[in-house]
Amino acid sequence: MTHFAEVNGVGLGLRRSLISQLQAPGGCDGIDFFELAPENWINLGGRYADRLKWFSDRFPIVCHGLSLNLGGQDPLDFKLLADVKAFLRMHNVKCYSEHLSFCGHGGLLYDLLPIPFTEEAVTHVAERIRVVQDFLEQPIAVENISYYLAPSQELTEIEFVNAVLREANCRLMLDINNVYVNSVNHCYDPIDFIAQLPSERIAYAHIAGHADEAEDLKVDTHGAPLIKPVLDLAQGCYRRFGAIPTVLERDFNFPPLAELKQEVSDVKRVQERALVELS
Amino acid sequence: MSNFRELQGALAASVRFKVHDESLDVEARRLAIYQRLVFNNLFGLLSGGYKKLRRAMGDEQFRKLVRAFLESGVSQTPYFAEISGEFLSWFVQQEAPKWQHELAEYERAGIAIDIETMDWPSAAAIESRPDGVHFSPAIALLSFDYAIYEASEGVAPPKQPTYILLYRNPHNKLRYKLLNAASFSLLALLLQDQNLSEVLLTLATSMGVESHRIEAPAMDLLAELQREGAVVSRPNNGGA
Repeated sequence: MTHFAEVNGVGLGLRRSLISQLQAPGGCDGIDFFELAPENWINLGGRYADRLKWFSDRFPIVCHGLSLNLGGQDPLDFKLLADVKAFLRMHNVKCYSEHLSFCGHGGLLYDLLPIPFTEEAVTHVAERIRVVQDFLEQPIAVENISYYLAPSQELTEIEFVNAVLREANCRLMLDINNVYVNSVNHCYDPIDFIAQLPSERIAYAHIAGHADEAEDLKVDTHGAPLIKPVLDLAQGCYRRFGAIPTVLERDFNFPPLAELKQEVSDVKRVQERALVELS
Repeated sequence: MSNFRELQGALAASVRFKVHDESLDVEARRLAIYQRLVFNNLFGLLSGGYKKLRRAMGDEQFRKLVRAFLESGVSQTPYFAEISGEFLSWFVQQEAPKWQHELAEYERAGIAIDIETMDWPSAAAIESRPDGVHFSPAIALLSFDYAIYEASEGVAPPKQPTYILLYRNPHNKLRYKLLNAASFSLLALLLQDQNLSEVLLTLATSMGVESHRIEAPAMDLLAELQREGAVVSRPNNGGA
């Protein structure tokens, strides 16, 4: 049985540079919900607090953390967790997700580095996820990240992801673009990967564009338009799992908002078509 | 390398220090992606916070500075708006021309004021101290040895005592005002919650003049600051 996060349709990742366009009349048309990084908004007052309130008053919100360092060895930041806990309640956040990665080691690095796919790493990260869930008193979802190297690999990516989900008893934030990028970079079949995911753990999904570094090396930059193979993969996911609520991510090289909203509606069309086929 | 903890440490160090650790046994171009992502991300964040410093130092020097900050490993804050604060604490400990430290302090003060969570003074608070001047709570009074506002591309600003009031107005907009030395002294005392009449007396004594001589220019300045949104409430006269 599938229980997605309590949002529907297609959302957009809220970025500062999009806000004034979104707040214009009709700016949010077609967008069902927003996703934001709590680390960009916690403890901010003034115009930032006003903007956040504008969105959280009008739309369901999901949160996607960046700095928790779930896969790292530095101690978990309980001050951050306490702030996140309060933030989730204050803004009635429907789901909190983080990354299956590490972002610091003796100080933060502010980017998503791959956890080595080993049994020891599964135990380590699953324990930290459990601690976080106990502290927050709610399940969290973790994202399958894009990775460009896998040192001393013992497990395949799907084995690693599934082992963590199982051991931590947590949910999955399925990044569809990452599945595609990883399938190219590490030569596997993305449909086969999707088929092995535990449907009952999927909370919501991400979709984005990426950059081609080389024929065999794609980088998940969130700086380019969606491409058809990724939309096709999304369709495959929706056919298999149902209409997973999906966030379109775009982090830089922003086109006019109308183009992003066109991408939102492209994803929604694929989502709706899959639903019709399923019914 | 098989131990997960060692492996992770080696990967983190390769990224932080931009070195290729052979024991990781990974393709250099793939490691380079992470080295680039991490540096560019931090460079972008700090470039956003320190636009004037970057322009005045020049890109090459600023890149070196960001690299040294990354290698220092001092970043602890999970909050992106606070990274510029950790950077400043670190930077003022580094050897650099004083005007660069001052420019960085100015830029960080602006960020801190822009994001500060605060409440405007309540009517009750204003009534309880009618002879006081009530300011925007998001405010900083800064003094520098250099005319930092004159820093430009590759040009150091002239050495010249410089006083600046930075504040957020009731429309949540960040504003600044250049001050002379006397105005700076006036505001410094008023921001310590001293009553206006006492402050005028203190200043007049230190300047060796009658307090009614400075009352008019002081009231003019406070009226101007009230129009601009730095002052919320003030007495109608200085009681001199």
